[in-house]
Amino acid sequence: MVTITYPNVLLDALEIGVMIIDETFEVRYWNQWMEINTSVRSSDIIGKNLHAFYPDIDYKVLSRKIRTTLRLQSPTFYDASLQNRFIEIPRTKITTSLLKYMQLQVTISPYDVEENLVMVSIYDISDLHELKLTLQSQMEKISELNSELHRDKMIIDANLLIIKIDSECRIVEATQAFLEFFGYQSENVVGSKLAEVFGDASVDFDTVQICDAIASQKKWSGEVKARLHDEEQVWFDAVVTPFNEENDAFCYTVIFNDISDKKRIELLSITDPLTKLYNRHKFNEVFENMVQRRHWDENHTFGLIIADVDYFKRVNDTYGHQIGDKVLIEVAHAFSETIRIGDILARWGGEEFVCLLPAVDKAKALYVAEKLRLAVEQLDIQNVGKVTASFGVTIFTAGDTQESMMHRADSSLYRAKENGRNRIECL
Amino acid sequence: MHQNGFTDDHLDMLRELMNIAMGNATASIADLLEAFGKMHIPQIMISDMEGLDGYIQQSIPKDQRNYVTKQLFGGEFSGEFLFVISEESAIHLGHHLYDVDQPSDGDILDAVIELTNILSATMISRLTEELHTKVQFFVPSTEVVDGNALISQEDIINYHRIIIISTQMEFQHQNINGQIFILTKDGMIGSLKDLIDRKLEELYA
Amino acid sequence: MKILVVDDSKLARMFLIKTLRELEPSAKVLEAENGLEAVELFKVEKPDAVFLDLTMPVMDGYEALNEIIKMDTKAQVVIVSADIQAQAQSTVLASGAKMMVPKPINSEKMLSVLQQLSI
Repeated sequence: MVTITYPNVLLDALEIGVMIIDETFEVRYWNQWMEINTSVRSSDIIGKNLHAFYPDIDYKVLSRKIRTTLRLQSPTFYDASLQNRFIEIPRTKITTSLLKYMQLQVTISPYDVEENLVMVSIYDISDLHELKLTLQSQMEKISELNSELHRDKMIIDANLLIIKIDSECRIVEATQAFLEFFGYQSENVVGSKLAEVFGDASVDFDTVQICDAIASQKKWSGEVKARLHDEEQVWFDAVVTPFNEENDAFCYTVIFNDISDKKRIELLSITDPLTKLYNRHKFNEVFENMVQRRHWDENHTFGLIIADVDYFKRVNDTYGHQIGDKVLIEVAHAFSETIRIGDILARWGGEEFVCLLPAVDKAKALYVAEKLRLAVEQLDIQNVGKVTASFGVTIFTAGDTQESMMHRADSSLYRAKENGRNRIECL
Repeated sequence: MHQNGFTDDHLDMLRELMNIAMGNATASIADLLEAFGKMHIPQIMISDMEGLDGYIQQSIPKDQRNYVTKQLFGGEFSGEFLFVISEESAIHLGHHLYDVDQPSDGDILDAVIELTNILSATMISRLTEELHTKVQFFVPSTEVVDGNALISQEDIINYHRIIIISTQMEFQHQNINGQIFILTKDGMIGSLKDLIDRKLEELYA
Repeated sequence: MKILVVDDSKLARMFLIKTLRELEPSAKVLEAENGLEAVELFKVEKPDAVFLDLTMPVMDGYEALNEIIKMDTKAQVVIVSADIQAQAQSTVLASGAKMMVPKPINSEKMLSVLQQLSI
């Protein structure tokens, strides 16, 4: 074993503070580290009481620790937290200023039990502590951001109708708002295909467009219609956005925006309130468009029918306006059931109806008109019984305007009335 | 036969030595607190991380805040000393030790550290004295933990064979209760077994 | 000479008996694992002395001591315990124990105990 001849050299070389004190806190040794960092010279403090230099130490605690150390002949420790600063040693670090004073780790070890001497070792753990503080503040920031994120997520979940679907149109996630809107439970929806979920009896939802968009892996937006279990019809503006999951799987979010109100307003502006057919305004708009189209020729043309309920004034006078309105509703209904898909039927005003027939020749137009005539004739309206209507038909020819076509159709109708009503004339 | 060569004799010996060590520790704390502590029968278990987690969950109520002090000790017998004391007990301790009505957080922390110091130093030194070996103590660290999740989820899935030596410190009148765990794992278990073997040889000689 | 040794640890009992036999090879030794067994054995065997541990399951040493003294106020009970608190000692002495020895018991302690007992 090597005898350490110069223990002071050893202790001074250590990068820790070392002092030796007795039970009454008299300082017996004070190493170079202590001299340098506290600016207290060993020649000044040795033989004096620690209390004279550091009155703020809790000497009751220190005394107990010294006693424990000596009795157990085992080291005791000070907690290294901020509150338990043993002595204040100023810190000279300039680049960061988190800690003004050194964070100390203090260990009290038995030095000479017979003489009741203990060695107090002071480690500067400021860097470690600084790191801890920095980490702590970062963690706080993260948790703050997380809670913000969580809050946003809650708001989205509660208010927006969003679903996440995979490339096979299977629902992966649905917001609470979505589930509540359609009256679904999460477990019945997640894992099921979109078409299965909306194909059931309770909700009639045309999902074809959405699934088509997904099949082509494209961003898509458009209007879709759904009928809820209470028969209420809702319109959505749907936006399909593809995105890559963390695991690189392709997924899609579908955001539904309920535009039913907008749709209703739109519908009001183009609908005749009594018969629910298009109004004259909408009809003119469509008519204008059709006339504007330049590619009509001999073989590709369109027709126009004007219909007028016969003796309607008499119905009104006999049964009153309410019954008169009912007749108009029933006739409108019969018409809309009879026309072809794509035909534009509107109420022109009073007991007059108009209908545009795209892609017909004269024969086909007359055929449609005849079906309409029959449909009215076959009605059996409560209180009123049988009613009939007269029809004027015309076909678009080169050079026609809206006015010229309307004029011809009107003249045809006039002729039908002249020739005995419940019939069709064509000019 | 138990795993790692531990027999019932090894466990019995360890329990008895722990009992003696705890006797010394209780006496030291009793001196400090000027109180009388109730002795409990120590528990010895050989387990893995999951078992340790489960054992901690059942020993410490999950709905309390705890001061958890961890201290490493090294040598032929080495491992981790764990002392868990509820916030309520810690406040009583701070109140009792420093004779103040409302101890500050710093007071409480210091009191807990001091108690742990005495506990670990007395117990481990007594235990190692009986086993004829020496240990070195490392700086303890104390933290306040909400609940009883003392082991991180990542650590639970790591496999380690562990010897859990546990007992309770109880000062009824002062309302101070703490849970003590001495943990040693893997290679250190063999070293502990060798020490106990030597002790058993003394007995059977 | 009939001695009852009470401890929940088998090794602690073995250790104590070994130390005892070094001094009293002819002593008849009875063993009990807890206080309840000890009380039952004491009732039947009327041993000359009892070495009694304190911390035990089922019935601890304090209770067993009371039961034994209740049966025989002159019973010679030696408490052998790891509990070295002064208050533990004063409690058992007040309850009628002859003396209290800290664990682990060694030959010197055993000799001193046997000298103080009237067997």
